[in-house]
Amino acid sequence: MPLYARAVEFPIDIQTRSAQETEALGSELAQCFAGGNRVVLEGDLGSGKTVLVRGICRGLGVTAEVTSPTFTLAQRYENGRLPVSHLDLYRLEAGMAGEDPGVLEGEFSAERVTLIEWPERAPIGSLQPDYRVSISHLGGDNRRVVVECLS
Amino acid sequence: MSVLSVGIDTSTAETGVGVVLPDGRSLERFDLPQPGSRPAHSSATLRMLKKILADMGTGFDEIGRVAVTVGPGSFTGIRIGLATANGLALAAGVKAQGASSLLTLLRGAADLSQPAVALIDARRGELFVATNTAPHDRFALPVAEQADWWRDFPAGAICIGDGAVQNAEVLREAGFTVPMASDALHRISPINVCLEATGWPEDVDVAPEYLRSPDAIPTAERGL
Repeated sequence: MPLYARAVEFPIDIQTRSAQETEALGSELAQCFAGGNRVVLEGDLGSGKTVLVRGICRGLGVTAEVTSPTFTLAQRYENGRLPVSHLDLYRLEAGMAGEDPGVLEGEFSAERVTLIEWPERAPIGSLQPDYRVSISHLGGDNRRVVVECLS
Repeated sequence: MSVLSVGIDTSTAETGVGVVLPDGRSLERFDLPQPGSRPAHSSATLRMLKKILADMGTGFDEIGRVAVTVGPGSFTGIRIGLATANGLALAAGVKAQGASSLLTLLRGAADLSQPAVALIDARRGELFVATNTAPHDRFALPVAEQADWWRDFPAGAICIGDGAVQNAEVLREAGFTVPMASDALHRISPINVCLEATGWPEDVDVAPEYLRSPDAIPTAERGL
């Protein structure tokens, strides 16, 4: 049964067996999100954060190609049910040290769903996440995905 | 330069904006973050440009050329600089032109008789380095890992840039000249950005210059 067909109880703790399943989970999770929500994504490189984000974007009705914003810092998707900002702060230092945090201001506006990879590198105090998604390897294509509601 | 040129530098913690008028008059301004505060690239760049244009009795409509440092340097700063330059250039119906931050810094020392080394803070214990004796050899130097990281610099060189200021004591002990921290030689002049960018190929889009290989590894190469 899809998550959104019933009252979702957090935390969710689910095992996925393929990238397709992780993406499908993201698509279901998206039904829980509202404008202004901030979702932090935790997991090692290659754990599937961007795959989950692709699913979330699909679930929000985004049709554009979803790619990793590691080099661009932020990627915006405007054509879905809600506008989405996907941030990947991997290239930055902790707390965005030495950088101008003003560059990310527009990504946290009230109408957007903001998905943040490597949130610990965001400026201290700028993030008050509504959800935390933690993805961990379970060998092969298997992943454990834990979603907590923080607000 | 027969058109109004704008020069932008956001590759270090400072923000520099300059304008050169067709008659040769020029003006440049800098936003210098106080110690411990963050760069203001995103808010300062256009605000300073607007003020400079007003002070020179001209406006955005007159912009005919846009030059910007493409790095190496601040990760977000360079993106802000390039995006701003591309926006201004698009409105002016021209292509933005790029300049290396290191070579622009060296241009400021071009009149000196001694060799010069440009050093820009690369964070993570590294410096971005170029010398005017071998300007095409630009690289990231891991200063935190090597005791005598300056050993290949030309003897008697003057060291400039924020990386030189940070390491002034060590460099002076090693026999190099490092001007006082407030000296303009340490600053990337946006007017020099305009001059340096004249060599930018007409058909090339401005893009960030990385001197470090990416530390994110494509999934296909990760073997997961």
